[in-house]
Amino acid sequence: MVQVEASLSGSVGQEVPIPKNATAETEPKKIKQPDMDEEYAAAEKLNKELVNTEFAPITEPSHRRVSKNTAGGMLFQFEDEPSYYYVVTTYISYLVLIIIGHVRDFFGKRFHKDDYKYLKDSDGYAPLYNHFDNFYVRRLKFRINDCFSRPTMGVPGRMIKLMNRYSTDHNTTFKLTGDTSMTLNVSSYNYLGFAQSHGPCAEAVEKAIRKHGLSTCSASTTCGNYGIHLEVEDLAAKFVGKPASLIFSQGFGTNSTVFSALMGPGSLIISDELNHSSIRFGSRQSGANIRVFKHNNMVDLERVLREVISQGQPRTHRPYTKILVVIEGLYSMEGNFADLPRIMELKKRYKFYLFIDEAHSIGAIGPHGGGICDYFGIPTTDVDILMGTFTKSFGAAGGYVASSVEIVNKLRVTNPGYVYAESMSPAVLAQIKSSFLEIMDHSPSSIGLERIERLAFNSRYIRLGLKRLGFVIYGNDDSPVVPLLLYNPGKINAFSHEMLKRGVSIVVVGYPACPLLTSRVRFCFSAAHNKADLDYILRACDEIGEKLQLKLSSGAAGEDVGKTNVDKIKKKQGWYSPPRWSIEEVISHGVEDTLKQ
Amino acid sequence: MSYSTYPFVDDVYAYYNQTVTFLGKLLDILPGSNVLKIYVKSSYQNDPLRTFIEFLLLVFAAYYVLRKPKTSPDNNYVELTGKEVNELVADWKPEPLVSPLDEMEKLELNSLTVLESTHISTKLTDGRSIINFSSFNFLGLAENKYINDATVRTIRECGLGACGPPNFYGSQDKHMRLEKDIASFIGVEATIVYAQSFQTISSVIPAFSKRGDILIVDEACNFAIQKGIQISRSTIRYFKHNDMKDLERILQELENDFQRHNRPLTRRFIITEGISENLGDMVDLSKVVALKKKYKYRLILDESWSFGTCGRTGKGLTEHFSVSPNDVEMIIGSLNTSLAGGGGFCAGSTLMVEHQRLSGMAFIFSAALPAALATASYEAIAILNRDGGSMLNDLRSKCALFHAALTRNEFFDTTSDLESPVIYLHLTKKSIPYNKQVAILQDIVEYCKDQGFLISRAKRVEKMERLKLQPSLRICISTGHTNEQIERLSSLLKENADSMLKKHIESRA
Repeated sequence: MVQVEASLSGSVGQEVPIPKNATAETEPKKIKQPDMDEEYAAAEKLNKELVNTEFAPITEPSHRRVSKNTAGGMLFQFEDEPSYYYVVTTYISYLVLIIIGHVRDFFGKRFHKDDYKYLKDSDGYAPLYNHFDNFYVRRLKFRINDCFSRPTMGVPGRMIKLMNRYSTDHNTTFKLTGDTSMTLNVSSYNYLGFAQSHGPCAEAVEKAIRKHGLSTCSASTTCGNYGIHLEVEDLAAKFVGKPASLIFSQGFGTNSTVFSALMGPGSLIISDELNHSSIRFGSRQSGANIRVFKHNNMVDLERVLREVISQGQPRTHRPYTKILVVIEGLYSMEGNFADLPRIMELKKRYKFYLFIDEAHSIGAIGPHGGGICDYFGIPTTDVDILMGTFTKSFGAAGGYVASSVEIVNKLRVTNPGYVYAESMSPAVLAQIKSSFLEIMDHSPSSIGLERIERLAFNSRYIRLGLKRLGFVIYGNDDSPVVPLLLYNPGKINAFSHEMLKRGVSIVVVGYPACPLLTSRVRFCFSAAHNKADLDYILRACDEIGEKLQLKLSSGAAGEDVGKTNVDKIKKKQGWYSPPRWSIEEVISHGVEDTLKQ
Repeated sequence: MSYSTYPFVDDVYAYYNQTVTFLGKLLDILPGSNVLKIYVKSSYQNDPLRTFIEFLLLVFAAYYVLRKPKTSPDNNYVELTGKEVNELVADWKPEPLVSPLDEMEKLELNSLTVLESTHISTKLTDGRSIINFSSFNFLGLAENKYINDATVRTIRECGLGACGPPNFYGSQDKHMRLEKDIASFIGVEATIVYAQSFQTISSVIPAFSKRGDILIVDEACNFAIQKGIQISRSTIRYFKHNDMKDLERILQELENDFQRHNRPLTRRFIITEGISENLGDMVDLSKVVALKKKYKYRLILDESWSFGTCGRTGKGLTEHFSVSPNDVEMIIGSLNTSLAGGGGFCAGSTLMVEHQRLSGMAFIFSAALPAALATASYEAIAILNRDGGSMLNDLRSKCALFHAALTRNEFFDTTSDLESPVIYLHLTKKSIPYNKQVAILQDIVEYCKDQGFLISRAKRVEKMERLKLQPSLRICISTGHTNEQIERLSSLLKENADSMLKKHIESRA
């Protein structure tokens, strides 16, 4: 498509929001070569720009940081709250939306009968879905539907190309305009920036397709296992520090099948209330009893553990055969880490087995990208099962389960996801393998290590900046997932539109993916961003924050990546001055403070 | 009473008077207060006892509303002291997370094969060349150079992973094209593509069928369907495998029950497979469609094994039986078999597809399919469209060849349909114990492997399956096989089954 090509080359200069000095810095000075063909030079320039849209060159070599827990074996995370004014107005907003929704339904059903036919019995068939269940989608979500599922093109790297679309029927359907716009991407889970169409990973993928083919057309147990599958299994095991691992072609599929192989009637799964849907799906399939504890609340976990061990199974009081506690390393909606040090203490005392879902944390946190255990310096041998996905940090797809040799062998023959489901494509494996090799290279000149440290810098820098500007930010200071709280439902689409105007694509999350009150924006930062990108986002957030009245933080979470107020909060002391720095101040102090703290 | 002697009491009295007057005035303002006043007055004058009882009732009502809600009494809960709990915690010993492998599981583990590539003629890890008769690459498209070139172009355009769920910037133009292409290929309104074919139907069923809904399921359904109906928590009835009379009996039974008790209308589905994953036989779709229309049920058809293998041009069972694809509400298929890509799809009406985009668990909570795999699938569909059925004819003739070569032999029988490229071979001597049969079949697999043919047993997790089936060999015919190879394999199987059986019978004796 000509339009697409034109917008690609044109938009890099126009719409792409990089301050001028940054691009100037990143381009190495070209020596004029008179004999070089001009066309070739132009092509090279375009290519260079294309590569830069996937992975930004670092502006300053010092913009790196080691991601590790500095709180001395403790976890410090604090969730700020806004004033009651915003809580009340949020509830009122929902009330108004619901009332309007019902009024529209009332009149719609009488005057536009055809539009509501799908909610009624017709010709002896019950409606495909429930009238009441569908209310939220029909009346609330459709209002802001243009903020979700925006179709994209190309690499979901530092930039992402959105296909522009419009709706003529109130967001029920969308039509593509045919052109695209290049936006800064803080929405994809591309933590280490391995989503690239050029470079060693893409080379390896191409080679793998030529050599092994693209699809295995088979389950792992019949003929879907190639040499490269075993290589990647070994690499994954080595990377997380476990004796063995096995891989699955889908992350969701990993969690949704692994529990049936491990647990069964008579055993118990204790799950964090905010665990990913795939874990809930899988534990329900397993037939084991399920208990839930409050999110990251170790007191509640201990209460549940004491209760289930002392009371045994419901009715019979027979003791549970085994208990598996399931947590996530990094919770993708909250941006916070599991309190692993406390859980390990509890594990010693209560003898449960521990399953950590490292879907988001693997590669993204820890000094070597080893995930939550690496971050806290806890040996992975103490954890029974580590699960993770390759979708996020590795720019691929699929999931793995790493554990002892016995458990992995057992899973190979009893895990339905391994026995029945399609095995992983060799192309995906090549991507994983080459990114693993980069990350696992611990030499000082390692590119993988640079990516990990750039991500750690980016996460802290942006979190520090947003906090100082006065936003309510959830999660851990080292987490690349940055939820910015919006509260009022009307601000969800406002924020999304304002950001899109400024050329940034973001993910907004509302009920039911998060609690009713805490609608949020979720930024996912990447090693592919450089400081210029982050500053651009800070400036954009600053402007929009003023416009939409989003600077609501009370100061309790601190303005210095969360240390000064720890004591105050613990002792429940006094008043914390809410931080409201100006954007220039934030940017001028940002780097120094990020590196220092 | 003198006002001067008790000034304090006077004050209180005055205040009381003031309040009562004020409240009285306030009451006057309220609409309908007159009725209340008249009621209280009349009841007090005529019957003070009644007023008293009413007052008590009011107090009780206030108490009832304001009291702390009690949780339902759990009679089974045993109160324990902290010390006792500590002792119980110290005493509790969990079982190991997994039990050690038993004999059958060891056999399964040792039988895992590692290959070099997806090609029909490929190599084992030890370098021996082998012809693959167990891959679902029925049309040989996995090694199609044109498709591979297209996927490489996609890699060069958009990298590998989509790095996000479809609802969060994960749906790329490649996915949209694939969805459109499948829909127009089958002839339905819309399609949704999932990232793994195994998860597709497990996710589609609970997206529509909830508690109280009715599912009528083939008893030999595949594992993914079993898990899907388990999650849905609906009312489940099983009918005998591919037995239309039994299906009709159950439908009639439910219809009678429905009319007798005048039950409210709920969603009702019939779930069956086109070609059975467990047995390889084909359902009579035209009959199922007639029944579903008669009894007003919706049909969920799992075409994982029939899409791309059945029908004149590979459109699946609807084409084979000349049934309109719009008569089947949901067609679920796999892109990992004939189409040589990855993932699965669900095709049907726009309404149904759009609902899944918000409630299909494996769709919303999983990362999108890598764009390269989507590309491979739509390029494969383009090839099928251009080809116009000659590939499918080739496949059918090769299946027929294998069937013909294996008829009239005393060792194996098959449940597979003539059209099905997945052929299950069971031992005819059904009296041999289960484990022994598995061992015999495994020996045959090993023997064929030595001869350069890779076949496989039907792999199942027996402990979790609903039905225990007779162990079988699974042979997958592809257009990539030559007639000589097929004949050679069938004669190998015939010639050696005898000696294998004898060996085992002798070893038992």
